[in-house]
Amino acid sequence: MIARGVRSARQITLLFVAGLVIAGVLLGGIAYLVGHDAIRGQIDARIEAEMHSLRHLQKQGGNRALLAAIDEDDERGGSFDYVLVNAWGHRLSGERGHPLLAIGWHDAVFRDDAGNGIPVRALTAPLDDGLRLTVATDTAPAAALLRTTLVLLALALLVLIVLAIGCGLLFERAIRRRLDLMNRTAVAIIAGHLDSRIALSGHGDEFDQLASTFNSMFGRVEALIGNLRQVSSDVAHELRTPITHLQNRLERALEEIPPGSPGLETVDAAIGDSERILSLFSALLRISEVESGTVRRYFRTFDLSAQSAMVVESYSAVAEDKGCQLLSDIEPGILVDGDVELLSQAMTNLIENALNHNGPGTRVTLVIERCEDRVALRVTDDGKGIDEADFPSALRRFGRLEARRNPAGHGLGLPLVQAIARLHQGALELQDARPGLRVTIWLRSEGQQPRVGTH
Amino acid sequence: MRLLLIEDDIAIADYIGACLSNAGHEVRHVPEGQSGLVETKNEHFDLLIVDRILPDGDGVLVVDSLRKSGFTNPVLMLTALGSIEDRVEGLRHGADDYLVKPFAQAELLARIDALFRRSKGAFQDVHEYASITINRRRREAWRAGQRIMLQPREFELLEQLVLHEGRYVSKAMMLENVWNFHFHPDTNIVETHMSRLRQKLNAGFASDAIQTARRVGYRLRDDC
Repeated sequence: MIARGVRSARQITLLFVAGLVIAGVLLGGIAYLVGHDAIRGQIDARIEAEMHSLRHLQKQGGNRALLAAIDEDDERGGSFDYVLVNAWGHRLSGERGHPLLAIGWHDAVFRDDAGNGIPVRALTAPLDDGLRLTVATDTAPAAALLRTTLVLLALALLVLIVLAIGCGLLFERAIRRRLDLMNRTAVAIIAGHLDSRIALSGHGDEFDQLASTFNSMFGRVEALIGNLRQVSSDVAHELRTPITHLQNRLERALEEIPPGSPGLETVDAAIGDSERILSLFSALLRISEVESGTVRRYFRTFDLSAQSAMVVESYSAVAEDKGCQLLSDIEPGILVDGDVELLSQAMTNLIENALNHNGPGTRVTLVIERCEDRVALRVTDDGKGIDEADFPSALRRFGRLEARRNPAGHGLGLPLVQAIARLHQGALELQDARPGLRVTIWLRSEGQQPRVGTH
Repeated sequence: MRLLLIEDDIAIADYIGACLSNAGHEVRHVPEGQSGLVETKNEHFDLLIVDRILPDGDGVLVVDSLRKSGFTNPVLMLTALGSIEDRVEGLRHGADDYLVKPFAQAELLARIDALFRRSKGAFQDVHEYASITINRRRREAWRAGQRIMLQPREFELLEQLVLHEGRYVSKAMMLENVWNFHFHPDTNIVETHMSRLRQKLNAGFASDAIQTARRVGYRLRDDC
């Protein structure tokens, strides 16, 4: 139950310290009570023994011997005080400040000559001849002993608390250090350093076991991504090489064909085709590279506002030529951690989509703004838009919708933008702008990348 | 100029060799990284073209050991991958430029020209070519002494043309140098801005200062 409620190393530490302190208090309390009872029992036993010996004395030597013994003891300043009364209540022995007590055990206060109260333990018992004897003993020394014990216990408890907090902090630091190590490694892997591994302490403890499990998982991830990269690289190499040959031959043919002959157009169109194959191919490889996350290694902080302004400046001329309008609303000075080129590619893709899918007169707006701890990169158009039901299909590679909207394109525009958003640990959001389409890339602002967080 | 080509694909090597020879360069070809390294120790080369994937290892490592041995001339990397990682790692290990296969002959020649000139270095503010003058620091341009008012991207396009001194600059090079885009947007933004630059540059003049060659690129006319 408690374990389920505990969430952090700090809580475990607090629990540990609290447990130790409670245990200490309980142990000290029990020791104190046992000691207290033992001392009291001892006092009572001594009083009973004295009572017994005086009763014995009375039986053997009569009242005179009893009185003599009491007086002698009083004079010697022995450890007992006595009050002896006869059957008529007449006090035969005992100081005046000592009260007459009823039969039985008492915790009473006797007064000395100066009138100071002395706490005593007393037993009053009937003797022969109707006498009544009270035997009392000063409990102050015992109380002092208990007080000393209490002080010692309190000191021990204090030491215990200090030690417990110290150990707890060490414990917490140790846990946190090991967890930080794991966390840092995972963050490094997310950041694209796939060969990062958690360092083992070598003690073979639970942390090492967990770390080596994680390490084998990381190894597996690295192998899978490496595999993917290898396949992409092989495919790229094997495909690009023949296409290179093809394109080179076509180029030579273009030079060899005399100008004006009918074959020229065919060859020219064939070069165009091979260029389209390559652009499709590059887009596919780019998406798979972006999705593998390895590019995060090259992330750096850059001014998204300035870069967006540059892209808008470059594309407003393109928009103008198409009879459209490209507007912008850019909050200045927004920094993000990322790949400037990929985010530029995402922006150009979105702007081109908006311009190409809608006719002249379309108004496209690029907005860069901070929303709490995130940054929104938003491209809105007032064109034909997409049905909300078609949003998922718009984000699928080679989605039919994309092919229908953009017959010349390859249907990889939005999927690439989505992969780029995810690479930046962001998200892509499509909305109906009524009319038109609004696409938002949500990014983390600079310094908001996930950091080690074991708190 | 003497160039060394390290490329294992014979057909591509032949094609590149033919392009470069036609352009007046002297080309030595080796199919492996190791033999390439040996060649650079024995002979002088003005520029190296290195394929990324070689039978005896990664072309990046060849460039790395070349740079470590003190080779300072330009290196152009070729790759079939065209991935971001590929480009960044290539440049990090000392390559000066990067070309993704397949490429057009004109693209290769334009880049080799650019690398040669870059290695010569040109850092002054004012540059002139034919009747065009630009001040790079103040971002001002003139044609035949007449001030031409340009938008930032238009100025940068003109800057590239002037710096390349009448040689062709490809669309991809414009995208990389002006926009810092290493991808090809669907829309031809180079063409859009180039046509604006051309309009402003030619206003009031009889001749077109910029020559466009299909599939090759743009250059300044030397008689403009």
